[in-house]
Amino acid sequence: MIKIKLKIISHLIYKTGFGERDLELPQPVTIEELLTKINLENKIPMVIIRNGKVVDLKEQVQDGDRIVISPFFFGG
Amino acid sequence: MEGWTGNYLRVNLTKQDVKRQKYSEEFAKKWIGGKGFVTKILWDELKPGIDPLGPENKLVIALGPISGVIAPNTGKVQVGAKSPLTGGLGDGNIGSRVAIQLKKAGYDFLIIEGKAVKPLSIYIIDDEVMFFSAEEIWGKGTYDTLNWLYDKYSRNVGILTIGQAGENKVLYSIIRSMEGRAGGRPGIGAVMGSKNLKAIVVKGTKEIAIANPEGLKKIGIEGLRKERELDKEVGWSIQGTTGILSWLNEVAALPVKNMRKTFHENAWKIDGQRVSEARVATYGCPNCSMHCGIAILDKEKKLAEVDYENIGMLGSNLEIFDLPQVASLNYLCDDYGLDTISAGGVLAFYADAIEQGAIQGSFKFGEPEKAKELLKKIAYQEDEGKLLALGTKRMAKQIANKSEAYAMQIKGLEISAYNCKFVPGMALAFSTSSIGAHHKEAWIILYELTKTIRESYGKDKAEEVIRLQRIRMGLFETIIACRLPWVEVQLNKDYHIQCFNNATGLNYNMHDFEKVSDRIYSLYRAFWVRENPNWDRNWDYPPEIWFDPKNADKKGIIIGKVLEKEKYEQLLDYYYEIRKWDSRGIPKKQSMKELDLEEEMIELEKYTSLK
Repeated sequence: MIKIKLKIISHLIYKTGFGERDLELPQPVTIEELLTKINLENKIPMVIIRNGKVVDLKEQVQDGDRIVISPFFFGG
Repeated sequence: MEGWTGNYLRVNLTKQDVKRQKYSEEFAKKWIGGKGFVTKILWDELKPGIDPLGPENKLVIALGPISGVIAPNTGKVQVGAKSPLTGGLGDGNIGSRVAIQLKKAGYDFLIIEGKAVKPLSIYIIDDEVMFFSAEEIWGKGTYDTLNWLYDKYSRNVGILTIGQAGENKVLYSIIRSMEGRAGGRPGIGAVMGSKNLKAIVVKGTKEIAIANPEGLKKIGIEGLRKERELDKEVGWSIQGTTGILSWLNEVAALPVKNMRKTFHENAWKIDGQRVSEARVATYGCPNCSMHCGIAILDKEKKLAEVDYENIGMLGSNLEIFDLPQVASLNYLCDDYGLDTISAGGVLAFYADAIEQGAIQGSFKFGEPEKAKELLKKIAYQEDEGKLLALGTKRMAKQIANKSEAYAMQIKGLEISAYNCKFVPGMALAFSTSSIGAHHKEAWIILYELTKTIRESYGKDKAEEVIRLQRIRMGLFETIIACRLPWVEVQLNKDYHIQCFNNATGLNYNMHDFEKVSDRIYSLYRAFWVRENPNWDRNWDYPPEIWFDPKNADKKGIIIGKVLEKEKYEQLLDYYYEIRKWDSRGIPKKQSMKELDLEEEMIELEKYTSLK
């Protein structure tokens, strides 16, 4: 069992149904697998930040991680 | 000419005289419109060294060749003048019905000269131009002024107006146009006020001449439909521009406490989700199908439109994390006609200077009620408001005590709401923005985090800044259309290029617009140099505090990191190299020739040597 903190940003929260949540997972997963679990299809361009660093979809989620998922931003 | 009307109005307020004049097709093709027209006209017509608040300054209001037509985001105008805030050239882009009405009245731009003896308004209806006394509305805020004008002329007219800040010549006052729409950050509202001009009202009833009306209708409607579809798919306008706030907080680039901090635990209280939940109305510019203006009730239960920049600068940067209070500050700025970004920057700098002991005062971070009192004092130039009305650069000179290091401005314009103490490419974008520290021409934070690494000072970052300056300014601020559909929902920019080609009958591609963009950028820079003949690269640097290790974050994700001076020098050199500017940041002779700026080059050589 691993525990992570998950933060969803901007309009992606209307797809996941939540903005911030503590999540328990039976085993470590990749970011890609995590996205499927929270109903975020990989069609929309997204930025994944794991513990403050941008990572790709193959990155493994570890116990205690803080994962932030946001759409792309281009600065108004 | 088609697309363009080929006509403009020269309005002299001193004489209350109007001339209807024509301009050449060559001028139109070379400068396209909007920012291009503003730059060339002001270069040609303003003598260097004039007082920006004197009658010699001129206010240019310019449209583009697709202004007003049924196509995506064509309801914007460009306003420009010599800036009283920066002393350089200044302009801004405003959503306004003026874009449609002025085009239908038969004009592509207005040049407003001189100074009225008493407060005036101008009413343009097709071929007629009338002057009215504005004494009844002088002294009113922009909300009351707009309502007064709507009652008099109907809601469909185009209006540009100023509030008390513009009347009282606050150096960062803006021009307001309609619900939530404002622009002209470098004090273009003060220029209008200095001319005793309260409002410009425009009504047009003519047909707009288009080269290929059927083609334009098809591509225009298709573009609007596609824009709506993309926005629906992505969901961008649910939170609009405010969606970015919590992301910036996560990546440590949020302005907090005069940009001394990059994130805050209470940022969520003013983020896009909270804004969206508080929404009571949505505002948008004409001819837009992805409205971004979210209006919420402020602390006093008034309807205030909030955007990211406003919340960042009047909220987190002042450590005010109470959304209705931030909305109140936003409302007051809009009503007085103050630029929200600069107002937030000025208040934060003032609180910081007091905290550092550089000046005596009682204002602190996190005090919304005192911030409201100060905004009023700024707008009316009362008490300490006189100092604050000058903007951070001049304030720092007066305050001294080493406060210049944390006066968060570049070229005199307050930095907009992205804290770049450890975002080198975006610091370059701010530093090379034509008007001073604004994000409208380039924004590369996502690029820096995902396509390269944050600590890189590679040439690719300079290339990316210039690529964006060429599109965001070179295309969107000349033809004129809002950049946001391309920026935020990735509407293909070819829609806009095709609209331009159908409107004008030309066959331009992005490469053509790049050349126009480079021409405008170089002439814009030449204007600054002509005003400041001892120009050097120090004008293109961000504030000293972003290089100061003592200012580095002590917790979070960028602990101990700040910009590195030597590497920034290199990045700036890359920028100059691509632009073909010399090491002082001045366009080289050869590049001016390549951009068909020979005459301008000869003029510039009277003031400085060119390489």
